[in-house]
Amino acid sequence: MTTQEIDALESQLSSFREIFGRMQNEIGRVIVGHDDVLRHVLTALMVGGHVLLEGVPGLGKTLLVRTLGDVLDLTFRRIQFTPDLMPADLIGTNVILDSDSGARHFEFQRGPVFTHILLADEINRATPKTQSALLEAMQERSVTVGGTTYLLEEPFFVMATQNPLEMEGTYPLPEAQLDRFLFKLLVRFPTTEEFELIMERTTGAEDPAADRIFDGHDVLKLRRLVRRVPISDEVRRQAITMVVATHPAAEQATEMVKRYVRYGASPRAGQAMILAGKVLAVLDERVNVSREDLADVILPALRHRIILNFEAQAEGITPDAILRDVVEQHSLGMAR
Amino acid sequence: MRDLEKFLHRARRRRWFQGTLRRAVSVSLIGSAFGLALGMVGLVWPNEWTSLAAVAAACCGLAVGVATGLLRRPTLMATAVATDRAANLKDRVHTALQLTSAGSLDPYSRLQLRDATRALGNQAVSQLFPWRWPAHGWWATAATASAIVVAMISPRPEAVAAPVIPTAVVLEAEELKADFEKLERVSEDLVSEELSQLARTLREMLNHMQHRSHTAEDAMLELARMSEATEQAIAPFDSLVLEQALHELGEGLGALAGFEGAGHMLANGKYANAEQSLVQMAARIGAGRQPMLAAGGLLESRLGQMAGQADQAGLSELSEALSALRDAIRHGSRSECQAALSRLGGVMGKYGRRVAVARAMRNQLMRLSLAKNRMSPKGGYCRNCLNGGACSGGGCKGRGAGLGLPKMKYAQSDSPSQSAGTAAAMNLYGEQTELAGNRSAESVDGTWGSGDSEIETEVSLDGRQQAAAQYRKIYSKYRKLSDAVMVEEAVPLGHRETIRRYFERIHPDRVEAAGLTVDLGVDDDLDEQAVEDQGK
Repeated sequence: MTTQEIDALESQLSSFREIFGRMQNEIGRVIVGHDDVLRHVLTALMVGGHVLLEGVPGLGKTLLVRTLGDVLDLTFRRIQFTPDLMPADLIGTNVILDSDSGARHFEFQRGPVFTHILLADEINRATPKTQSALLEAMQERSVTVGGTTYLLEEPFFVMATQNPLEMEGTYPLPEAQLDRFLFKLLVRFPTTEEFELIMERTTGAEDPAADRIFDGHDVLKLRRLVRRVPISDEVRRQAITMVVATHPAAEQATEMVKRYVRYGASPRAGQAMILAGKVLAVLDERVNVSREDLADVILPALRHRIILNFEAQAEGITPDAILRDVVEQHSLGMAR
Repeated sequence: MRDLEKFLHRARRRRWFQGTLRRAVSVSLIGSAFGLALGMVGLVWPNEWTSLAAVAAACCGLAVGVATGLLRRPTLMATAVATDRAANLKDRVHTALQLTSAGSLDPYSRLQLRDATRALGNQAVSQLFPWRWPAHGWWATAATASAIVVAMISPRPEAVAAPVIPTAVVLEAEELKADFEKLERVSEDLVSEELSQLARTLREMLNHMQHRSHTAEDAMLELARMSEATEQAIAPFDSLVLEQALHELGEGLGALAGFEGAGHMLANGKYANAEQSLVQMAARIGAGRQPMLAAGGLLESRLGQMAGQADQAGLSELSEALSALRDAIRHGSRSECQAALSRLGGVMGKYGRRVAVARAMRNQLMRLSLAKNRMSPKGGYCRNCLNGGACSGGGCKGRGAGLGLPKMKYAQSDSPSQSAGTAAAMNLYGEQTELAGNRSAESVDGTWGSGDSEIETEVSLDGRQQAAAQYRKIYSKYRKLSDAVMVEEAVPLGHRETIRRYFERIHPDRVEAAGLTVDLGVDDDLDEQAVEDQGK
């Protein structure tokens, strides 16, 4: 092991930070505010996870995803989910084609899911059947139609937007599908200053646009780079503790969890926290995951994975409140 | 060893001692608090061990704290975690330590180690883990000092003023002590285990009375115990029958020629003199200076009768001695006569000692009884002398005790009467006082009937108006309370209507107009209406 190799690695990590920063800046030219949302979206992209954005209409969710597609030199498709959207409309179907010789044969017509970046807009307006059609694509990176499995090209990145569940004409996403999303990000209403800036940019003569600065190969390279960031047993144990603590039957469960949670987060939540923590560590010029990284991502990584009981819904308790309580209770659970 | 590990070893050493200090303080605080409590107990109830235990508890707390602190040496990993926290290094150090321990050689591990070492470069162990006096340090110090001070100022048992023994108890005990000594002297002549045991028991009881009886009641109890012990021991030495028998024997012997002197002494209860007389007579017969007792039917017969009487009285030894003397006279043997006289003298001396012991014991019982009488409330001592305190003076028997004044002496008799101590005085507290009470009995008869009243009830217009004004005031108060409840709380509509109608019914205007007495109960009509409204 030579010093040059270590220097080279340090240089690669430094360039990772630079690219990440450039992406943020490019997207920031179009999107006003939502810095945290943007940071987490890019973090999910870097670790190969999918993102669910939730917010009321008109907050720029779709624009954010579209701009990300513009910045990355990758294929981008958008599906507007509606109640009558069928699974075949999403993943494709076998169609009968006539050949020049007059013979007929089946040919698989690829659906919009065959892309690098997929924007599933208002995903909770489609029926659960159609929503579930994305399951295999998101987890296995493949689509099976008529007994044939078609692999999706990497990187495959799904960004779904959904309206709050309280709104009319929505179907809540099944838990299995929610678990496939690395993060669930809440898009909030902009501040007054941000609002002013949005008005200024969108009502002027120029239409702001982002430049392409990246391609799929770069994304895959960066993913490999990030995944090798080491994590100590202590910190890994802390991540596990936090996930286990969301289960009401667990010994580590807080009083709030025991009272308000029906089902806790799955092991995927732990994976999401650690992977995202690695990206944050590199961005913070570290080569190790820290507890602060875990605390930084616990809300987007776990808020959609814990299912609250009726009492919590009746009292207006949110998953975020429960997760903050878990962080507070277990932040000092390190070895002596 | 790498710089990182060197740093961590230094940090661990420092944290180890800091942890030891913290534990020492914590455990010392507990031990000192316990010691302080013990010391306080010693202040209130002085005894031999509380002061020592208080100091020991404080010292043990400190020692245990130090020992546990030294035993719990922090691990390097724990030190690394603490370093991360103290320097806000975001888990760099403990991650590097783990990678180093695992021997990981990949570029990431090397880079991470370099990053951690670089981050630690600007840190100093003394800055990260500065010496601080533990949070409860001053409390522990104060508690330890207090425990030691309290232990030092706790009075020693010997320094504690012994409770005052009442003067009456002291005086009576001294009197009894002299009698006990006399009983012991008499008992020495008569070798008896029972008597020795009694003497020891009485001595112990007397000591107990002298030093532990803080009130006259305690002393009376001890006196009762002494009387009981003496009465139990006197039975085997009961000498009334013996004395009677010896008296008769003395009179009998006095009538015989040659035995006049011994018989007279025996009849008068001077047993030692009688013994000496018989022994001298035997010596003279042996030396030939006295003629042999003349054999004769009267002497033999008399001695035989006395031997029979002695046998009937249960004095077999005396009977045998008399029979032996009779036989010796009958045989006309000088030597036998001498031996028989000596034997008779010895028996008399022995009986004499037994009688003396019995007399002493009876005398003892009498003394105990007298002491009990004197220590009764009307026995002659003042209240202070009985309960502990300065003598009130006057006619108290304890007057002048402890002031160097001569204490009272009781007349002693060396020849008490035969019946002395054999009777029990039932009236322990003496006779009733002769002083006539200056009382005047007066009979008071109550007067039956209504009598005069201090309160007059008037039915007047003023009174009615006053009552009405008061009623309005109270009505207004409760009406406001009711309205407030109806605004603040979710009262069902039916109940609201019932309440509203209730207050309308008892409104002062309505009541005054009707000239009715207000009935605050809800009538049936209202109840039915309320139920109906609620149903709707």
